Amino acid sequence: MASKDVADTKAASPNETAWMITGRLLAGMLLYGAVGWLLGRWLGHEALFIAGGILFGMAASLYLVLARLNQETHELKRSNQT
Amino acid sequence: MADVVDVVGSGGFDCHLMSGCGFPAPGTEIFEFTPLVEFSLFGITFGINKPVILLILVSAFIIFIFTVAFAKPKLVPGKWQSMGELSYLFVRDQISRETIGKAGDKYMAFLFSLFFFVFFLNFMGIFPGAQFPVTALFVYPVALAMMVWLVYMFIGMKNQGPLKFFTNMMFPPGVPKPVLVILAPIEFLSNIIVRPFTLAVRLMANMFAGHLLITVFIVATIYLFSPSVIGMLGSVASGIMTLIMTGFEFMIEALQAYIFTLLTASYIAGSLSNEH
Repeated sequence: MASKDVADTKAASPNETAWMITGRLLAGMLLYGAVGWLLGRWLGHEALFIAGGILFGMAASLYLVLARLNQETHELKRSNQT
Repeated sequence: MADVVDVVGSGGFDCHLMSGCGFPAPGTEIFEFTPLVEFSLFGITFGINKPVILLILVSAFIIFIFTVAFAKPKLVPGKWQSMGELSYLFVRDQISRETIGKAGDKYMAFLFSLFFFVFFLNFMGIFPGAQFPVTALFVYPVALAMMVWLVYMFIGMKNQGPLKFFTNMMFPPGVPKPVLVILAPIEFLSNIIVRPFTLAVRLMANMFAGHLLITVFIVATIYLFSPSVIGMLGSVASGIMTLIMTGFEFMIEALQAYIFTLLTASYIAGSLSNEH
């Protein structure tokens, strides 16, 4: 085991990727849920804004997760070529 | 088993199925300990309770076994040394090199200590006589997560530069500029606040739930022990469940220590790479 070739850096394992996704989804929902709540307090219709904020946060997080995974795949391809 | 006895102790051990005594369901009180010793130092009152004693014992134990294992390393390792080397190789090959790569060898001292510290603190949950997973109390995982947070923040700022660390973290490449305005706060929140929080909560919640589950089955075993068929059947079933859950708990304790260290290693890896 000790003698096997080890790269300087490695791609994330499925386990870490799973936690990365959970963390981002949670953060997005929390952040934009809070923004929605504040907007709701300002403009009225609090419930509507909170729900909208959470949905928006989820959508943004999903986009972010995809962007990050894309970036990771590109890096892996590049490091395999060189 | 002091905590279990406390719960059953409200009705004494006479609290059984047919004695007109309700099931003494264990609650959060099994996670509350009264200080055994109290003393003041520089105006701060310190209370030493059971988890603190376990913490000190575990630390002493870890220092002791690894000192014995690595004090006089020989070319042909003895019993203790080969055990120490095996555990070191496990953390290095399965956690550090698996996530960070060779660059992770520099941080092995931290990861190795972290893994065994968390593992033995968890293991106290099923250790006879101790029977309390120290990490089930939120302060302990929080302190560990804060340490991890400081480490990966420091490594990131040192490796990528203080400002570049944050810009690399917050702006994923290949995303249109207007969308970045929406995404950057999420990245910031998830990396700086959600990460250490979930790290601590994951460990604490797993240990908390496991300890509560085992306690419920032990209390049920004692409570259902009564002169009735249904009581005896239930008591035996609960007793067997206690044994099964204890085995299961051992697996969870090892797994949680592994995950805690693995995620720490992956955060360090994220701080090391310049592309993130």
